[in-house]
Amino acid sequence: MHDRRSSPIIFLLKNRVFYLAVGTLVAILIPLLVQNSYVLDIADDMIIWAILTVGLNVVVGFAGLLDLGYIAFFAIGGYTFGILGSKLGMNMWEAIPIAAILVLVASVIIGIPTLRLKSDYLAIMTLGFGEIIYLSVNNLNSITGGPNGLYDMPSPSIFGLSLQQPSQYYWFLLILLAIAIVAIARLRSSHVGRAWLAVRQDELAARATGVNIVKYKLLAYMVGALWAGVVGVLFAAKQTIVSPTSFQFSQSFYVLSSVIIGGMGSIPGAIAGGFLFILISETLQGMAQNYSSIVFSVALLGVILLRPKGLIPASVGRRGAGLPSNGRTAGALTVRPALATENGVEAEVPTARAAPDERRSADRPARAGYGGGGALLEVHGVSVTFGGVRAVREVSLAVAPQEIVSVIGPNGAGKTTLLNIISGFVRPADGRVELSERDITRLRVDRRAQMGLARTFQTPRLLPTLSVVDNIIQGGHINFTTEAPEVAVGTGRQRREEHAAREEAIELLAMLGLSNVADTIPTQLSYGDQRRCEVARCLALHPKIILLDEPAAGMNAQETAALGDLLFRVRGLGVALLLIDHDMSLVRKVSDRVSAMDRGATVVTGDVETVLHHPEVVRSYLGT
Amino acid sequence: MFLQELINGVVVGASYTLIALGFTLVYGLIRLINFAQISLYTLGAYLALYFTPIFAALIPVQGWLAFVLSIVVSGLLTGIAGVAVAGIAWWPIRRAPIISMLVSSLAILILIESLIEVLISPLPMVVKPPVSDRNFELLGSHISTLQIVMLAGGLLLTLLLYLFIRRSKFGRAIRAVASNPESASVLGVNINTTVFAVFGIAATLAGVSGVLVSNTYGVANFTMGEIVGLKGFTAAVLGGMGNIWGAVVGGFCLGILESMSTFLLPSQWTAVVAFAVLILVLAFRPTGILGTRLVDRA
Repeated sequence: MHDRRSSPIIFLLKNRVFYLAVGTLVAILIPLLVQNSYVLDIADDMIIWAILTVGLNVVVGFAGLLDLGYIAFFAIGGYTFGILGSKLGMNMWEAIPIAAILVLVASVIIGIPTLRLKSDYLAIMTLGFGEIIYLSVNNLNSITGGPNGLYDMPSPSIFGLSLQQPSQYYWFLLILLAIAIVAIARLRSSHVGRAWLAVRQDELAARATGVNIVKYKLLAYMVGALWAGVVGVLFAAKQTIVSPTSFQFSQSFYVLSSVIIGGMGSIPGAIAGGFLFILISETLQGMAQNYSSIVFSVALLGVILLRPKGLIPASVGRRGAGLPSNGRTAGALTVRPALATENGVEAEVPTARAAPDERRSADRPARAGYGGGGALLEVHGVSVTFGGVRAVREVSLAVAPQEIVSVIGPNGAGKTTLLNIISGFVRPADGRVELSERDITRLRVDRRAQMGLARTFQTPRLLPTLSVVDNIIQGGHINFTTEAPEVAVGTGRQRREEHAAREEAIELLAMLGLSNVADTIPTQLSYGDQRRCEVARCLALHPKIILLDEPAAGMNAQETAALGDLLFRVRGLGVALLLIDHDMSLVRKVSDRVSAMDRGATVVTGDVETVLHHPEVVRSYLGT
Repeated sequence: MFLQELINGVVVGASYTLIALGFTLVYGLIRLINFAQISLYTLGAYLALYFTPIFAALIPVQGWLAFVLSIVVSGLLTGIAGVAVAGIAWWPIRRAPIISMLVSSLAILILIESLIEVLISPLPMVVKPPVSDRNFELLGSHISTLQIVMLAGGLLLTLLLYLFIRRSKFGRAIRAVASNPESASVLGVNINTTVFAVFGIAATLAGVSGVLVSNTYGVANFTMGEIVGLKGFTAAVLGGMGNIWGAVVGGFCLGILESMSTFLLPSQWTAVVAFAVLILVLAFRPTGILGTRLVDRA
């Protein structure tokens, strides 16, 4: 009896939704409970600050970019309204879209030259940008009013109703905060959020899955800038004055500290950090000296050193609103059944068909063009030199559609370098790489992935804070067609796309026998399972060819045999494979052709037995 | 006019060089933009503000001796502060992502600035050097004693740094760690000691720069490092981050460019020039004039 009565309470206390509901209710009721306009004014500031922290959290927490001039966008928003309002009599609503456009343009101008480079350069660039904006508003007296600032803007109203009372404005701001939270949470739990996470945690893996790194960094920077610009207008409207002191470097520092103290990448953390900042700085304001910068710098150091994930750490594992995956995997559907025609694959995979699958396979006309004729992947005489050592010398290679080709050779023969040349991580000094008869030698890694080239890594590179199933969905990044605005709004098309991708990931996991680990974190998996996950991630990309870098390394004989069967099944889906491995039993079992390399050059290429009995291969690699 | 601006530019360039060297040394070693460097410049200026009158009172006739002593003591103390910065911003989190180090060095920047603001004064301070400042005429332009001191000090420290890195055993250790930490450690170089020392050296350079600048222009305030720090960083990037000669070339180039820009822009906008240079360099030649190199090829 006792247990039964206490369990719902414990359930409630452990449930995030419960806190969300209580928090929202309290937030809505505050103006009714507290009639004090001083308190409501502080509450307004808390919400404004929370919108800033939620926005900066996208830049710093999601994409991992350090922005030290975030307040500049807030300033642009504030002064846009200040100038348009005081000189032209424009109201807040008219100023918002103009401010939004201005901050987006500014973020692109700052972002494009910087985001191509190492991300720490962004920190100093944004610091400079913040200083320049501050300097400008302080010195352009005729436009910005200089140190005195601007006033005489129209007071805020909506549909002719005044919003001048702190309580009215409070509700208005609260709605805006809610919109910001929903839009940003939607972004985070979508392919956009997964791409940000991939960019932050593992740029190599992100590029290999077809994520355009610069695009997603810029996108994060723009999303952050947009919210700062919009809330800048609202801040100016509330204050009825804009002056440079609100936009000093220290303010950028405070927003950043709020985000980091709250918990980088955590939306509740960002809100809590923002609220906490206003509460503490209001408390300290009564004192003779300005202690808040000391308090916040010490708090920031404390958090970085002692609790680096912040007060409310970002959740690890499953993200956002997906399908409930428990019990779903049992009813797995065939992955692209139309393609599973070889090697008796059908017998092993349940054959129930579903509409999304047909749609998905129909979406890929490229696949239909294959079947016969020329090579899918062609490498013509590529060479590359590292510090005087010719790692790869004039290597040529071809892989036909649905062919399995293995590259063997002793360590240091240049096999992985060859793989890196094909996938685009290393640019050859000489030679050419063609995929589907198109020269891709100069294409970026992500462009190659978008053309259907997937790869695994010698050491598995799964994203450590995403669940296995979300890792697979991330692997299908290039198949998402919706852009960020659509994701933020949450259109039906976007929801269907996300849903279909999740279904497919679950199917892929079932096919690879990984259903039982779908919701675990990759780091908890065995080495062999991590390798199979990487194969599943490659398949999610809908590749034409997968490059496998030592897939059998660290596997026992039984696992290796199972891997061989798996590779046949993968090939059965219409995928070609280029494989590097030292395990001759695997190479013998799966290869259509083998190419042996030694000291950077190809020794011999041909069918398995010819190559494995070639005298030079036996001497240099296999041993007698 | 032109020559005058050139002189001003070269003198200012010397101070940018010192800060750029600090950024470049730490970056070359552990790939960290050490923001705290900015506040150590300010700290140096305020330490000298405290020590100069003390030494001037102790050695009343020898103004120059008092001045030099004040510079040396302030520089050394800033160096110790720099080692302490490494103990907070780098040592405990040296295996954490770089963003943690960037944030902690930023937190130290704000902490030092705000301690100066609260404990000393939020208002600008007048700095009086203990020596009489004279103007020399040079082909119709002027250069003051303190400007000469600033230029000479900058050049002297750069030379000392070069000799130290090139000739001393410790300098060899720094170069080894910069080019390859693993093999350096295999060869018996203590990486941690090296990094601490480099933080100290970088801080000393910044501190001395702060002392010289505040004495030459007669003013110090708690945020004086922010814009100068941005310019010092720009200089380092302009010359080639991680490259010692790059910091020197970048420092002087930026100083001269900035002085020349006063023909076009009011002087409060010089920061815009630095920032524009930074954007352009990053957009078109991110490796800088001399190319991004490790310290060992300096």
